[in-house]
Amino acid sequence: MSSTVLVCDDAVFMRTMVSDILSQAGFTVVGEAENGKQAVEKYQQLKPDLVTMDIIMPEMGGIEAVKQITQLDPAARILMCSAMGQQALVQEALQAGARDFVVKPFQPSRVLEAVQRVLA
Amino acid sequence: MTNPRDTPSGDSGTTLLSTARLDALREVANIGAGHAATALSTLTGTRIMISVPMVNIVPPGDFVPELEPGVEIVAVQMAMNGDIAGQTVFLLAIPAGLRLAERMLRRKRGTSPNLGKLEQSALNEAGNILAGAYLTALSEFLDMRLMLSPPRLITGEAGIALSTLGDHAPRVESPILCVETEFFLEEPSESLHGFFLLVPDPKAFDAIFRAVRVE
Repeated sequence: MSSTVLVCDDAVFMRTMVSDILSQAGFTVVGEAENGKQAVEKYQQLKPDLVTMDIIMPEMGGIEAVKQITQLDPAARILMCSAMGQQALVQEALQAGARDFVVKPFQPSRVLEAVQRVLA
Repeated sequence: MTNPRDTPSGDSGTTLLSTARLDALREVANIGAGHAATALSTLTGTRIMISVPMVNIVPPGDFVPELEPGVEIVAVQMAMNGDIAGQTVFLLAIPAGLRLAERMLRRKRGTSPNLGKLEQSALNEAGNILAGAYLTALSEFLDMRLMLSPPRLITGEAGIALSTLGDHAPRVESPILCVETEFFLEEPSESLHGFFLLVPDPKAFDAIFRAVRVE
């Protein structure tokens, strides 16, 4: 059975792009969330193998969402998707429990490499 | 959409900033355009080049009427803060905006007849990338910390759309840094024409002038 993924980004364009990359590579995108709060809720409902997480989002950002998800499930596998120039925030997300990160704008191969590293 | 350089602009440009300083800003814009082109090419999986045919300082009162009456535009607006405050606006005529959105979505030409939610989100991301690249180049040149807020999309007739920018609407007392931006796309080849506007708060513009140390 293919691994399941929850895609979290406030931009529908980025959610669509990440979902397409993952679906075409054989992963099953089980849900999308447009802010950190939704990601925490959907994580509990869907229990995905992996979450891709944007950092800057309205309502609840990615770092707070990582903290809450890893509190609920210390084994959660979360991949941060950050924009250029957000190194300090990426560091904070990794300390909060994220496993790895990719920098936007990304090439499909970079996303898949990172996803495979996190799921390994 | 007409070009600001075609219209006599009174006290704009040359009296506000020397030719050497405008050349310096043009160079900064070229660096930003290069970074934005690389990012957009990566994102779209096709080669995109961006050139900057014109950089000028224009009084906003001059810029707005130069957009042909009735031209419908799509504009991505972002608030700028940090060492100087203001806003950035990336604007295109709607047909060009649709073409750019199709590229961002890796769709064929003509498959996005309307600016739907996904197309708007794609243009927000393009505007985000472009503004981020220009501002990064400018912040390095000026040695200033400049940050952007999340993008907001505005559509409509040019004058009306620009007037919806609220407190930051282009005003006569606040000159605009106008960067004409030409996209060259491949497979299939086409070019798209737009403008990137940096609208600093009036006080912030003085800070830019002081920081442009080129004589």
